[in-house]
Amino acid sequence: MQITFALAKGRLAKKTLKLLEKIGITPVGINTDSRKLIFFSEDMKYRFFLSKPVDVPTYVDYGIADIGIVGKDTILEEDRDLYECLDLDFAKCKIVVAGYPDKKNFLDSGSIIKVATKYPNIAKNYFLKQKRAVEIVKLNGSVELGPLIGLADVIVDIVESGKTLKENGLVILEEIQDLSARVIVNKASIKVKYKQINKILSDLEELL
Amino acid sequence: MKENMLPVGVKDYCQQEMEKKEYIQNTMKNLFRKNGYQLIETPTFEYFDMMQDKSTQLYNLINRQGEILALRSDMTKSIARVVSTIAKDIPYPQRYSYIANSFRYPKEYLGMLHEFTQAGIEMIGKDTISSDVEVISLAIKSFISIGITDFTVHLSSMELFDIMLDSVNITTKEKIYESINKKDIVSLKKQLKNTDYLETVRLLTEAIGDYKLLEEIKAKISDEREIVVLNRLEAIYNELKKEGLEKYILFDFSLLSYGKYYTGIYFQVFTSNIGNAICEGGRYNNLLAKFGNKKPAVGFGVNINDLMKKNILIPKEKKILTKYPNQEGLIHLYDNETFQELSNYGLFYNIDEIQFENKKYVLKEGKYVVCK
Repeated sequence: MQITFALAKGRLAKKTLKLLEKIGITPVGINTDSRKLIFFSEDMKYRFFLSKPVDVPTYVDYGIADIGIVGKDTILEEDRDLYECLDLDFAKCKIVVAGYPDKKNFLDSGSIIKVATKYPNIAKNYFLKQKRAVEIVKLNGSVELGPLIGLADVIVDIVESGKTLKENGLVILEEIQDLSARVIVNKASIKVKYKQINKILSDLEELL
Repeated sequence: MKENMLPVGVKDYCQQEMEKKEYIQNTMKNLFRKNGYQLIETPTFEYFDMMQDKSTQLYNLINRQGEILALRSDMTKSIARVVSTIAKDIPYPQRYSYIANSFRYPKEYLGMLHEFTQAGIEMIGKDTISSDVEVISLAIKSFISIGITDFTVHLSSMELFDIMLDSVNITTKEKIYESINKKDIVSLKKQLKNTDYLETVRLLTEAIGDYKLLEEIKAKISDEREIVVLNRLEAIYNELKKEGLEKYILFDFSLLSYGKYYTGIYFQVFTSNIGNAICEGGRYNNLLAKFGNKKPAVGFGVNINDLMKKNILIPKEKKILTKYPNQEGLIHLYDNETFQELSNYGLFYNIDEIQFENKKYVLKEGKYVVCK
């Protein structure tokens, strides 16, 4: 049975392909800079396609792809019904609550917190767990602008080096979750194609 | 116009789609009845408190007395209620079957039906290997009866995991089951790191295989109670082998359903082109106690709407047409009696016209039937 991989276009795909190559899985003609989207391995045992990172969980949920490799932030935000099987330990970063340092006390004050974020679901669930009232403002980029121009009290965003925050005078107020690239698997494929999928997962795990 | 629209999560079934659904439902209904499972019907709505469970969002309604009701989300609880009330003193084991629609809100935007049809059985009052075998065997036969053979029954036991996590405190156990429910194996491994049972749990969560897998696991387990559970699974397998059904069985200890009521064997059935389990079942010995009638029980439900996605051949009655060979133009001379017989096998558009096997036949002058 053919196994289909959904890869997140960009840095994630590049690193993923390197790993897959190490365990003997190589698509022919793949060049992550070109516009072509579907590829096959020489023996046709594997099929690959490139998609926008946010869509990888969708393809895996519907079973279009058996396996997907994508960041934990996307997995949490899209909240689809699938298995998260392996932490590939690259593309490591964190998702945090950030803002001006003086907002630290405001967060615990009990007032409604205005949060600007690209990740409304992650933000909502985080504050809900702590029973804190929030108003979520969804932005699609440059979320740091939120507190800078007075749109929001704090932001929920991804932090790698922390440089962007620092340059804008913002600090990490609370850490939500550690992130990295993960392997997700369709919940029927993991049962029906279990032999092949378990082998791929254990081979990948050996590399770590 | 809202009158022409359907709300989210429901659909109409008519024409050929309905024929297919009816065929599946009737075939299973007859199979269950032949095996001694009598049909039962229960109300479409029940008290909210009775239906409520951790993992399901119910369709609520308030009646005019101000009581909170809910559309049923499954038949198992309703049947448990009946067995604990009006059927309480009927001899056990009691065997029931049902074809019924249930309702629940799935997660948003996932395109799933809110109203779904299940065909299923419950056997109440017996906690034996033979009763587990009877139920699994019937689940397998229900798919074979509609011509589906490309499926696997993934069998596991809720008891195994419970025993292994026996010594773990409640909060940690809750988190572990939450990871399993969310299918987050990465978190699960992190939670079990540095514990005694990481290896065994890992072995289990990654273990899907045939009969040999049981032997492998038995070799790595030392707790007596766990060996008992594995032996029971082995015995079930061997009984199914006597019926020639073992080829559909896979042991799958990665399966777990948290928040549901299973206490013993648990199984899900998967088939190649459908993304979720087409059948789910198992033993639930603690449910009836909640209705004041402590009795063991085991059963399963088949997801009819999902089965509709499979290629299913509905055997058509061919005998009428073979009796009357097809000729160009004039087909045959029909008398009233024959006309009635033919009408049982086709769809009527009006009394002068019959559709059969995608051709339309017209009653001409009350006697002749001409192929249109």
